[in-house]
Amino acid sequence: MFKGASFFKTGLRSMVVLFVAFVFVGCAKKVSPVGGSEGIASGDQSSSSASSSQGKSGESGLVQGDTNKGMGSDTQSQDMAKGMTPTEKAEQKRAEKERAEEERAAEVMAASLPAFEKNVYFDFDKWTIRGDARDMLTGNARWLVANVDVKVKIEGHGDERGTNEYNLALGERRARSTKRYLMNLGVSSSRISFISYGEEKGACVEKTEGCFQKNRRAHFVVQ
Amino acid sequence: MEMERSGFRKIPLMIMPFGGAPKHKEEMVILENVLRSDLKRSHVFELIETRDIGISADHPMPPGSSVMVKAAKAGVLALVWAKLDTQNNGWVLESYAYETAKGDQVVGVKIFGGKKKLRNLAHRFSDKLTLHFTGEKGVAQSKITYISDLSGEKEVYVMDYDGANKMRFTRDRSIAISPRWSNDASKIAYTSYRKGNPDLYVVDLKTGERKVLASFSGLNFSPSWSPLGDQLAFATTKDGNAEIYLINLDGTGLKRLTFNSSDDLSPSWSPSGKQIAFTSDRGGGPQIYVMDADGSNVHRLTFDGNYNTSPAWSPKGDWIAYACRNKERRLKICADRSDGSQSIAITESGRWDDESPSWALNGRELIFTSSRFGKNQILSIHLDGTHLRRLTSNPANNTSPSWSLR
Repeated sequence: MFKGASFFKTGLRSMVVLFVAFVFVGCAKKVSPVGGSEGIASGDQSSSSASSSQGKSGESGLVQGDTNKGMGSDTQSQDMAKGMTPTEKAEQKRAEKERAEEERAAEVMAASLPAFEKNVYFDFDKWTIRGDARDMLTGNARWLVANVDVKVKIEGHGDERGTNEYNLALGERRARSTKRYLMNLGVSSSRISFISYGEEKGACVEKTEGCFQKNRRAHFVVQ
Repeated sequence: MEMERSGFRKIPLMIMPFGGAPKHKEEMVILENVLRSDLKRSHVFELIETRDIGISADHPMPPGSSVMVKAAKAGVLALVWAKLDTQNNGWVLESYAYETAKGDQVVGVKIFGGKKKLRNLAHRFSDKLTLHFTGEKGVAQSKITYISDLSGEKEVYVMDYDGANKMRFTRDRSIAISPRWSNDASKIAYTSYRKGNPDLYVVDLKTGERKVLASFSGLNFSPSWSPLGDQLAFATTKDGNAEIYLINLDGTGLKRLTFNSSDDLSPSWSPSGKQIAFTSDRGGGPQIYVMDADGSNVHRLTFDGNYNTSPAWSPKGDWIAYACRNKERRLKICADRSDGSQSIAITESGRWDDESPSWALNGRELIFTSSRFGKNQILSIHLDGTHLRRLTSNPANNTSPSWSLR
């Protein structure tokens, strides 16, 4: 549940700073050495020991130079995250205080608004808005009308059944029909962007109807 | 239940133990095994083993006349032998084939290769044998590009056609989708979310250069190379739903081919370049359609079942393979004659999904993704449903294979 518009203005800004720093540090750890294909080959029956040694240099011309670029920038950001100046620390404190105040104000306002639903669900191979999704979207529309500064992105998703390319198109249909529904309830088009991830970014991976249903969704990201 | 043209008989062939210095024994065994596997998979040769006809394998040397006569009597048509040596820091494989009837040497070639490319020597020998005995290009040197989430992210990978030498091709740390070889195997087109929006990219393998080919707001996906390699067909949702477009490799000449409010996607060129097969849900559910390469003469190809997607036109032109959903609501691999005269199921029924077919150059074998082992893995199968073979078996999802035509 999201609490109010003003929260997103300053609260998010400081969170983004922290988040970005965190992501870069995380990435730096994940970088694997060039020629990491050796580990790939060893997991496979079909590649003998001779083949995995080939993998190291046999086709290394294929790997792009942008690996090195990526590693360079990771190191830089790591240093930036460590060395925070006193001014920056003070700025962070001030932002935290501000955020706490605004959160309190937002809570008062949110008390009268419906909860903002993050997901609405769809039937297999369908993009029509279901009965259960209509109430949720009506609530989201009210919330968006009350929080005029907020923009949302709708991600369209599908379950793993069906083919990847068709599910990409299906995911976009779901995102578009969700956007259209909100627009019909008075939310301006310019505040709603969308993207399809098809079956590429599942919320779960189990091969059960419960998980399939969880993945057939339009997911809201508040921006 | 092997479906063979009447009168077609596989060529009985025997591999003699390879020769070379004792210190290269290990490499010689690898080469023999790779060649044996290549020749079996070609569906052209029937392999006969020396022990089965009582020929000693103890003294590796070119087959003498007594061996020739014995092999001929046992019905062996061709003998194959090679000798491994090193030269200038690399390998050299002296490769020979003999016809037993007259004892003639019919293939004799020195194959050179770098130290790290041992398996490739055997693949090249295999392709020479296929070309000599059938007049057809072999597929043993071909490669497969596919998507794997082994690193945690969906990246483009490349491996040999037998699953060896797997290596990561992209390091986008994003989501990569549908990599497709150009017909000369010099470039790969694929979709990536690396800049946020799912854009279409082309990477040149020699130069390493990557360029954006289509980055319209919305999806830019499912590329298919024209046979000449100067154009791609792909789908984009820039008009509000998925439509198929053509675009030149240099980014010019954008041309829309489909016009309706349904989704049209997953184009696949015919080898003649005159037609394009694609998926469309204009009739309700997704089905396979065929149109001329200028967008005219659209007609529906598939009528069985209510979900048929991702067509792949055979390089021989005769079949269009696709993912078909059966009565148990499971995806399988099916194929229709491109003139619509026959429809067959290639993969067996069972509680798993098979999808994303891609053809070998010879039009007799396909690769596809299957969930039969839990995670998605890449398998190959003969058009007649036999010779199922697993090409990936790591703990990741390996999907969307594309088989190079050279």
